[in-house]
Amino acid sequence: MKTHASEMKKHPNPWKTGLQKFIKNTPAVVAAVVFILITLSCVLAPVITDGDYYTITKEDERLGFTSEHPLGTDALGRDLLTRLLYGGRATLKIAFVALICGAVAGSVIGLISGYFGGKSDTLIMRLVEALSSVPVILLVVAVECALGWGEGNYMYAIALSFIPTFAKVIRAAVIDIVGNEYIEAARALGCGHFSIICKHIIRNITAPFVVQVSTSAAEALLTCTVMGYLGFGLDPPLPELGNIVAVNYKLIRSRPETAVIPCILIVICAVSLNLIGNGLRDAFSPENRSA
Amino acid sequence: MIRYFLKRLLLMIPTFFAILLIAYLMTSNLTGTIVDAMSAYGEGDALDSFYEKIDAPDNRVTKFVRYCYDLVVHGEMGKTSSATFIKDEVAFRLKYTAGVAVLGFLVSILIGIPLGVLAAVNHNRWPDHTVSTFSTFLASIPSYCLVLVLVFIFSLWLGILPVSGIDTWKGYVMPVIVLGVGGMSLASRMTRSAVLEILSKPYLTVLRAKGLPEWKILYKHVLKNAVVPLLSVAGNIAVAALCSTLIVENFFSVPGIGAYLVNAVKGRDQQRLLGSVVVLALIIMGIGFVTDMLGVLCSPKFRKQIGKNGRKLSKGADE
Amino acid sequence: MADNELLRAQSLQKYFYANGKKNEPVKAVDNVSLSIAKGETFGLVGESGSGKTTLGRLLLRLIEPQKGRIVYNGTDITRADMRPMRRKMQIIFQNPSASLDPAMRVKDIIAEGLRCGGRRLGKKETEEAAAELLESVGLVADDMYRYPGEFSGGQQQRIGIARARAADPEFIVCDEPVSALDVSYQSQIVNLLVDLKKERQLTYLFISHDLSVVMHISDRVGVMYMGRLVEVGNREDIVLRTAHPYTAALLSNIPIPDPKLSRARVRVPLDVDSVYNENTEGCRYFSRCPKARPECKQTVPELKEISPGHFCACLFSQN
Repeated sequence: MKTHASEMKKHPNPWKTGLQKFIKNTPAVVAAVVFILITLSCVLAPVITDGDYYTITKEDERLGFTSEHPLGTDALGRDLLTRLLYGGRATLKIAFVALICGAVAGSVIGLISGYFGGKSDTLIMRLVEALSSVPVILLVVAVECALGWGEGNYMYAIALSFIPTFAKVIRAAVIDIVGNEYIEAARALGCGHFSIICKHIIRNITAPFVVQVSTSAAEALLTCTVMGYLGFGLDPPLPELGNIVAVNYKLIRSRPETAVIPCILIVICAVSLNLIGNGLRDAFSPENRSA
Repeated sequence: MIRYFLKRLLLMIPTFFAILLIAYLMTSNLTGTIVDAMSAYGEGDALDSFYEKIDAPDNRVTKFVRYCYDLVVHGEMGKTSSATFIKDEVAFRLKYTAGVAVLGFLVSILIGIPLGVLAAVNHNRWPDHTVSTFSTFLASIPSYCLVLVLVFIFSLWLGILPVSGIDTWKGYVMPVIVLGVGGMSLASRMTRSAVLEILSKPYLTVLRAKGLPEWKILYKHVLKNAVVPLLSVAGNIAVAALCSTLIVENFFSVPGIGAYLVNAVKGRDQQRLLGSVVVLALIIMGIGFVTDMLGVLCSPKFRKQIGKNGRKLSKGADE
Repeated sequence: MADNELLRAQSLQKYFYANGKKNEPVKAVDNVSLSIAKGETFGLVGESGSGKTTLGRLLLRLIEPQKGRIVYNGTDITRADMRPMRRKMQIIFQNPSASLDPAMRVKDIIAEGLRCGGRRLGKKETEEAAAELLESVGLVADDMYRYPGEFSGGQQQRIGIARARAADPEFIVCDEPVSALDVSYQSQIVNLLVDLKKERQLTYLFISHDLSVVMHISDRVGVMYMGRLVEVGNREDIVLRTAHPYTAALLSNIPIPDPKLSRARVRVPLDVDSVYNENTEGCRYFSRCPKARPECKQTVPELKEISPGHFCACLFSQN
């Protein structure tokens, strides 16, 4: 058994080498740390703050930074820090769920389409192509019309908007894999479609999947905040990064920092997600893997 | 060629009605919402019968068919509650949306595509890194943050551009900048990967081995082959520019289709909503059609797929 | 010969249709019948595109035949469930790097072969069996923890052979197993295949475009031209009593490392330009055949037995 362990270590699997490559990428690691810190403080919002994001303070108290309100109060006199953390919590959750739903649904569609090919492939890709040209805002409107307003249902719309990207990427990857002789070898060894997909295809599309998820993450977050800004998101007084900016935009002449601070938070999140995505792409892209 | 053209054109008709039907079904709840709101005040019986009448399935079908009939035969999209024609409203608003979107599109591709080519040609050297970092950063800025910054600088600090509205040319400047920044970063990334793919082809090595100067390879061989992928980049950017216009309009109170759409949604107004969907669907399908056709015209590979004439042509071109 | 027959194919047919054009199929395999005896090596030669790979896949039903019958060891497997048959019939591929899943360790790749036909094996048993198999193909047991990408082409082909052998088959289709390898590895792999065959009483269908390799390893040889078998016979018959003009052309093009011998030969040109002028009615070889006569254009030559065990499909076979 000793030899096993040492041999396994000498030939680590591609994931480990990819991870090592990622760790050497300083900007990506810094971005990951920053993003994890932000996420943690949003998740721990109920612990960090008193959870009061709705009480409106009196007019004369709407001032800048105080010990009671570290980041001041918003246009309606609510504590900005609490709203930011709770808003970040809501937005990150919605963006994350939307991204994962869209990614999984799109990948399954791409997998089926690419693996089985033929007429179903043509039909599916037509539909996907059609879906990809629908503006996100229309998807949001349609989904909220159907499912109801102000409950965060727009996350399903954003999930829908990610289906085409993932379907195309995964389909291309699957077609590439299916052309290889090892799939035919598996068939010659009596594997059915199901076990070929589980054993060979999924294993080999994991890298492009992860890369695509990480490069789409920032987009998911930004789309969520834009929809929140336009008022398609959660109903007030529930905070959300997008509607926090929208509310405080009114104060642009008197106290612009109330709108600028949430913007900075959003940009930091998006930049770090993009850097993480680039890092993962460089670490796991097939052309870099062999080296 | 003409057959392909006609086939592509005819295929758009069922697509259009499918979109319309989906939009109709999804928004038909909107009227229901109004009735729900009214029922809070109304008498039981009268409202119940009204509710049934509106919600009856065959009523929905006939209403949809009537809508399609009016649209196709008379080019009408119905009237609003204040008795104005939706067609006129949409036409009025389309001017602004189209203006902003077209300018934004031009800015995006005129800056984005050259940047992308520059990055690809200098792959892994400083121009590439600069462009990539730059476009990653721009892609991380949500449009409303940019709006905030621009309004702060140009309207409040320098006082040279209006905060909102689009009465003079000055009103166009900020929306177009916002659109251009987003589209530019998208265009440069897409262009970069399209050109990189061509640059990786072995026939370029042959040309280099032949001793052809680098600029000649770039202009005669790389860019010529990049025309078709770049056309599809441009098509994507055009759709993206339209989609972002719908959003950006709201930040600057531009009275375009996007603002119209958002107002229609907020006012639970199905007629207006459908009107904007019709226009948007037509525009987006039109963009797709034009890109496809240009792609066909520009590429021997496409021509080969189409018909016997095309096949002969492309064979001639190969020799 | 019928007593010890292992595999028989009767008038197999497979046409491929390019993108829905039902009218002009590519006739990859057209009315091919052959019979392979237990323990023999049947060599299949032909230029690229002659359908020899498709024929190999058809026999294992990796591609479904459109017409014809496949009989294995007395049972008709044309429509049967292949799962139980897979253990007995295996395949070795041309491209060693593409035939091994890059994301799997070697032991998992071989385990796939071991578990073929629903056999269940524990972790320890699998590793022991994998070690034994690797050693039998000239690798070391510890190689099982590595990934395919860490091996050379020849070593990868050895892993492919180990995987096929893991299923403990009786019949192996070797689909150009050495064409993608360096010449120095080719003889090693061919010798390995010969050794394994002796050890296990295997039967091979050895597909190659390289006539010298086929002549080295095979007992009997089939020559394919554009989807049809044109000549079948013992190795001696094919070389010494060549009947079909195409076989003669192939043989005369084998490079010989002795200039004196080479000059003594009559080389029949393989005129590549006319390959695609497919003669649909008569003999497919008509357009390139140096001995073509007007009759050849009308009549499809059947595969006829010209001497015991020697078949030829030519109206004017040479002996």
